[in-house]
Amino acid sequence: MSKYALNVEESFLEKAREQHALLRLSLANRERLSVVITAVCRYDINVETDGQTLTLPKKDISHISYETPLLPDEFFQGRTEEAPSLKSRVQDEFLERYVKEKTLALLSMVNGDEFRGVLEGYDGFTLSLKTSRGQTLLYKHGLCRIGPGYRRRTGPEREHAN
Amino acid sequence: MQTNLLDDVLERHLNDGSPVYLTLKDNTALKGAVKDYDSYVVMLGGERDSVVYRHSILKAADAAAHKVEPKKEVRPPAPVQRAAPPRPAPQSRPQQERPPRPKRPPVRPTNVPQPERAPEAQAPAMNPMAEKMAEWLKKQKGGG
Repeated sequence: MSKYALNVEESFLEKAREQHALLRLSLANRERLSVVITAVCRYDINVETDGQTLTLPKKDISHISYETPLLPDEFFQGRTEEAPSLKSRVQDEFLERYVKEKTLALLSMVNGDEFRGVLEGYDGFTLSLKTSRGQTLLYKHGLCRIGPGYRRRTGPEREHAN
Repeated sequence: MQTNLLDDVLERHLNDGSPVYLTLKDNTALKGAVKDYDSYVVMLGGERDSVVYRHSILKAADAAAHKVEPKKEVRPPAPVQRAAPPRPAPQSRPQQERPPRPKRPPVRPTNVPQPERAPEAQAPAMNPMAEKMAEWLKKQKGGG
């Protein structure tokens, strides 16, 4: 039994594999790949790109996106309340608020990428984000910060840099 | 044994409301009051609150002790350039008079420091050998 009611990552990857969807994938070093998933495992995935097969460890994947939603809205509504975890209370409350209020969020990644979109759902290791360019699966290990996206992040936070 | 010190630091900032200065892995530096934290994230309160993942924190400091210059490229200092006539801005140039030029490969950037030429190369062309040769030639001409 999993701790989270939703299993965003597994469902997303499984759907993509079934549909042979051509996904855009970004690695921790900012390398971009267009891939089709051939196999999914717990810690890595096998993909096909340019006729060759690659094995990619999930820990080095920053995000995976597809131009149309792979997971329908109903998927995210089939969510039940689960017992709050003490270790990730702040995170869960924060994400829950963003999902419920459909706040436009600005997410910056460790590799420098930035996303602006609405959080649809999350699980232990990933977030699902709806952006203007489709649905994106973001790995939490690649995330740096999450904040509101309706105003550009500028001066105040960086003022001490001067 | 205690597993990490960041918890203590955050707890202290949370209690006295002092700002914490964070440097993140994406080279941003930020400052904020700690509103709350857990094992994975820190919630910073500024004018708007945001969540920072703890795995992306490079440095956490009590004060901005040193200069942090986020996202700035380190470049070698530009060499002293000879005063060139300032180019007119591209917008101010009349557009209709000339047909568009074919694109050329870019000229080498002007701010790249040029390797200094070796001083020997710029020395006067007359070296002792050449001087003697000229003398000898003169003598030959005078004699002949």
